[in-house]
Amino acid sequence: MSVQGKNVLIIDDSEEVRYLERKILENLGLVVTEATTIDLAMDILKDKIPHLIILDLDLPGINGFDFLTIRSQTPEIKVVPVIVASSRSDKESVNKALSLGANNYVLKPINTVTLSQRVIKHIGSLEYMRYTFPYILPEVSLQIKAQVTGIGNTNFILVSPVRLAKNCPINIVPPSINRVNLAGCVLMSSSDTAGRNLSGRYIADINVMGLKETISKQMKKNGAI
Amino acid sequence: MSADRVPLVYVVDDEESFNSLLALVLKRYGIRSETFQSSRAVLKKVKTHPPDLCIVDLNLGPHEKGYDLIASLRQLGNPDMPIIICSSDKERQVISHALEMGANDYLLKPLDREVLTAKLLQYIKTAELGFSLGETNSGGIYQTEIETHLHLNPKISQVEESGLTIISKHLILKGSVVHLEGEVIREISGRDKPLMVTIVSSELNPGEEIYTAYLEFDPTDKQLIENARAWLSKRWTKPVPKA
Repeated sequence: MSVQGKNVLIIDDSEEVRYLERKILENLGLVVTEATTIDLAMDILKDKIPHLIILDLDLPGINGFDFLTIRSQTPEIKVVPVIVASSRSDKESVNKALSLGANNYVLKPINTVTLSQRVIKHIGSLEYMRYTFPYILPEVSLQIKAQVTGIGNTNFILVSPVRLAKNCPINIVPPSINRVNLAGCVLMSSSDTAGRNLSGRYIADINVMGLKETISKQMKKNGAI
Repeated sequence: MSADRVPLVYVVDDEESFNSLLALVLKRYGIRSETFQSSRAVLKKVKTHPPDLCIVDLNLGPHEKGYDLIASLRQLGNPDMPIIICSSDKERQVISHALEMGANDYLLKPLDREVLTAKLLQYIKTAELGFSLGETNSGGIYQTEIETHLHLNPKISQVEESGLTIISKHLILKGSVVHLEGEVIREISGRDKPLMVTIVSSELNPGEEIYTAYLEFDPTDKQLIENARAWLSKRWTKPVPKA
C-alpha cells in the first residue's frame, strides 16, 4: 500500500512531540489526526479507522499500555498497526509494549529518519482490507442511464451500456414510457442477440408482458404507434 | 412460402367459448388452429403434429395445472416452440413462475386484439403471416428518444477499501457510471442516498453465464473511503503472514 494520503493517528499529550511527528508524517504525504488522551483517541476511532497509530506510553488517565490491551480486544482497532514512541528506554517497557501487541518501538527524542522509515515500512506492508460475503450474497439495486428509442404495440427498444441477458426480467425507473404506466407489466429482454449502436451501446428489444387492454390503447394514443 | 405451410397454433383452455373465439380470430389472420380442453389431449397431439405456437390458459380447471402443461410441452414438443400463457391472474408471481417453467410470453384475459396480433407477429415469423398482419399496421415501431433508467439487481460478492465486486447476469460496459442502493450499500457508505460508482472491469466467469464486475468508489471522496474502512475493520480478518 502506498503511503500517500493514508491516515495516521498520533496519541501524545505533548504538543511539541505532536507537532514534530505531524511534520514528519505530513512530509511523507500522510494525513494526520491528533489526540491528547486515550479517551479522545477512542472517540476518533469510533468512526474513523486510521492506517497507523503513533502511541505515547505515558499519558494522563489511561496509559499507552492499557490502550494496547484495549486494542487487542477490539477487532476494529486490532487491524491497525501501532508504533510506540516513548522516552522509556528500559528493556522491560519495550518488551511489555511489544508483548501487548505494539508493532514497533521508537525512542524519544524522535529521529526523523528512523520514524519515517518505520512508518513507510508498516504502511507499505499493509494489505487492503477486504470482505468476501461467505454464504448469501446481498442483492443491491443498480441503476444506469438508458434510452428508449422505439416503441411498438407490445415491445420497446432500449439502448444502454448493458448487454442484457436473454429472456431476463428487467425494470425501468420510472416504470413508465410516454406517461404510460407499465408498473403492472413484466418487462423481459428478448431472446435475440443484442446489437450495438455506433457509440458502442447495446440495443435491446424489451418485450412487455401482461399488457392490459387499457395500457395497450394508451401506448397507441400517446404516440407509440 | 408454400400454401400447405400455413402456421399452426394450438389453443388450450377449459372454456369452450374462449377456444372458439380465439380460433375465429386466428382464422381471420389465416392461421390454422386446433383447440383443446385438456392437457392430455394436447400432449398426445403435440408428439405427432408439433404446432408453430401454443396458447395455454393457466387455469385449466380444478384438476389440472397450466404450469405442468408448460413443462410437459417443453419436454415433448420442439424446445424452440413459443408458448404464450393466457390467464386472468394478474399477480406477478404467477407470471414469473410460468415464465420460469418455460413459457415465452404472457397475455391477460380479456384478450386485446391489438396485443394478440402483435404477439403473433412477433412469434410466428413467416412472410405470409407478416404480410397479412402487416395490413393491420400492428408490427410498427415508433421512433422516439426518451431518457430512462435501467434497473437491475446484481449481488455483491466482495467489498474492498476502494470499491466492490458484483456478480450479474448482464454485462455492463467498462467506464459506465451506476448508482447503487440497498441496505448493505447504506451500511458501507454510511449514507442514506444512492452511491455513485464507476465500472472499472467486467468479465465473464469461465463456464458460467455470469459476469463479475469491479466497481470503484470515487477516490476523491475521502469520507466514503473512511466509512468503507470503518465497515471493513469490523469484518476483515487479517491474513496470517507466511512464515
